[in-house]
Amino acid sequence: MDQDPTRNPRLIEALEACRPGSNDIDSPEFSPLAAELAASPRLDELYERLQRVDAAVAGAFADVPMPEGLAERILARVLAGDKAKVPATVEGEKSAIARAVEQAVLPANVSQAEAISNRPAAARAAKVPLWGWVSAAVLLIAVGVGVVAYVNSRPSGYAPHDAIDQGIALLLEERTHRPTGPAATADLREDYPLSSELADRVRVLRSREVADFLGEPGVAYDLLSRTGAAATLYVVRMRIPGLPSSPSPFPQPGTQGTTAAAWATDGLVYVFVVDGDEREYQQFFPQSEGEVA
Amino acid sequence: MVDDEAIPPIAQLIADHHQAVYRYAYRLAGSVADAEDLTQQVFLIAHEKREQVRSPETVRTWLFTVLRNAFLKGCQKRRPIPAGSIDFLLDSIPAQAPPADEIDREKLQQALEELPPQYRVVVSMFYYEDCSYREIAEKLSLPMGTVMSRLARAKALLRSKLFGLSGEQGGGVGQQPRAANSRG
Repeated sequence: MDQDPTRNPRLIEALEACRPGSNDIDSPEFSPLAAELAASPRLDELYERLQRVDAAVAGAFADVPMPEGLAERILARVLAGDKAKVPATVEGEKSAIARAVEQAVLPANVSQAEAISNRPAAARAAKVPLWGWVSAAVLLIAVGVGVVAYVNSRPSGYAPHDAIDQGIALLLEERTHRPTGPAATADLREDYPLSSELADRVRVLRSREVADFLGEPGVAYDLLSRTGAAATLYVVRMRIPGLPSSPSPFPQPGTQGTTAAAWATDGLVYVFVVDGDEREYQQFFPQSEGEVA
Repeated sequence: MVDDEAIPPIAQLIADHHQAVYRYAYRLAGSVADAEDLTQQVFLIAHEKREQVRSPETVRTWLFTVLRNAFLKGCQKRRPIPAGSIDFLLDSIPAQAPPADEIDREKLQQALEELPPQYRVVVSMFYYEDCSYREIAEKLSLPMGTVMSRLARAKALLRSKLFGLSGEQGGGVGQQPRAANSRG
C-alpha cells in the first residue's frame, strides 16, 4: 500500500527545508520530494502554501527597529576595549542577566534604589555574631545541595522521540568510524552499565564516551548480536517521562536504514540503534519473547 | 591570505554592518539591551580578529558566525523542544499566507524566545541568513538530518504561535484549503 506523502516525516522535513523563493526544489538532493510533488496534488498545494507563508515570515524576520546612536556606541566600546561596556540609552531596558541577578538578590517589592538607599551594610555586617555567619554558611550549603539534588532528579523535559532522534543522529555521524575487532570486557562502564536486557545476548565490541546526548554526557556501546547484527547502545543518566522500562520488540524506523528503540531503568536512559531494519533489530529482541506493554 | 588593504577599517565595518548584525542579534537575544550588548561584542571580536576575515565579500557571513557563537556561548544549557507529531507540523500552516507586514513582530519575537537557543539559531539562519539546510549543517557542524528535524519543528512552533492554528482552523493537510486553487 502506498504511503500518503503528506504523512511521510522525511518528505515533510524536506518540504520545510526548501527556502522561499529559491530553486532548492530543483537540486538533486530534493529530487525525491520533487517526484512526490509531481505525483501528489495535495502535497504540491501544501508546498506552494508553505512557500508563501515562509516568504511572509522571512520578511517579518528582518523587520527590527534600530535603536538611535547604536553605531556610535559600538565604536566607542570597540575603541575603549572590552572593559568599557557602553550601555544602551534605551530607558527602562536592562540586560536579562542584570535583571536575573537583581531578582535573585533583592527581596520582592524592594526596588534596587530602595535597597541601595538602605545600605549601611558594612556597619551591619560587623555586628553579625560568629554563629550567624556559621548558620548562614550551613544554610547556603544546604540550599546548594538541594539545588544539585533537584537538578539531578528532575525530568529532562525531553520526549522519548527526542532520545531516539538523538541516538539515530549520533549513529549516523559515527557510521564511518564504526570500530572493528573485539574489546576487553573492561570496556564496560560501571556508572553507565549495559542494559540487563542485552547483557547476556550481545558481544561488546567497544565502549566510548559520548560528550553530548541531549545535553548530558553518556557512554555508547558498539554491540554485535550472536547472529552478527551490529547495533549501538547509548546510555545516559537522565529522566525522560513516557519511556517504557524495557525495549519493545517493535522498533521505530529511523533514517538511512536504521531502527531504534528507547527505554529507561534505574535513572538511566537506554537508546538502542540498529544499523539495519526491523529484522536485524529482532536479532537482538525477538518478537517471540513477548510484547512489551 | 589576508589582504589588509581590502578589509575596511573598523569604523567602516560598523557603519556597513551594524544594522544587519543588530537585527539578527535582536531575533536571537529577544531584547533591545541584550541585542545591543551582543552586537557590541561582535564588533569587539571583529576588531580583535580582523585577520580571520578572508575577503570583504565574506565579512557579513563572518560577523554572523561570530554573532551566533557569542549568542550560544552566553546561553544556559539547552532546553528541549516539545516533540511534535507530523500532524502538528502540517496543521500549523495557515490556509492563506498573510502579507509580511501583517505578521505581528511581537508575537514573532515571543515565539522565537520560546524556542531553545539551538533551534532559534537554526530557524534564524533559515529565515534571516537565507541559508540552505546543508549550509546550516556545515556551519553548525550538525548532521543534516538533525538540522532538517530541528528546522521543521522550530518552523512549525513559530507558525503555531504566529497564526494560532489548530487542525480545525488551519487548513491542515486533511482539509481543503480556504484559498482553493491558489497556486501561483
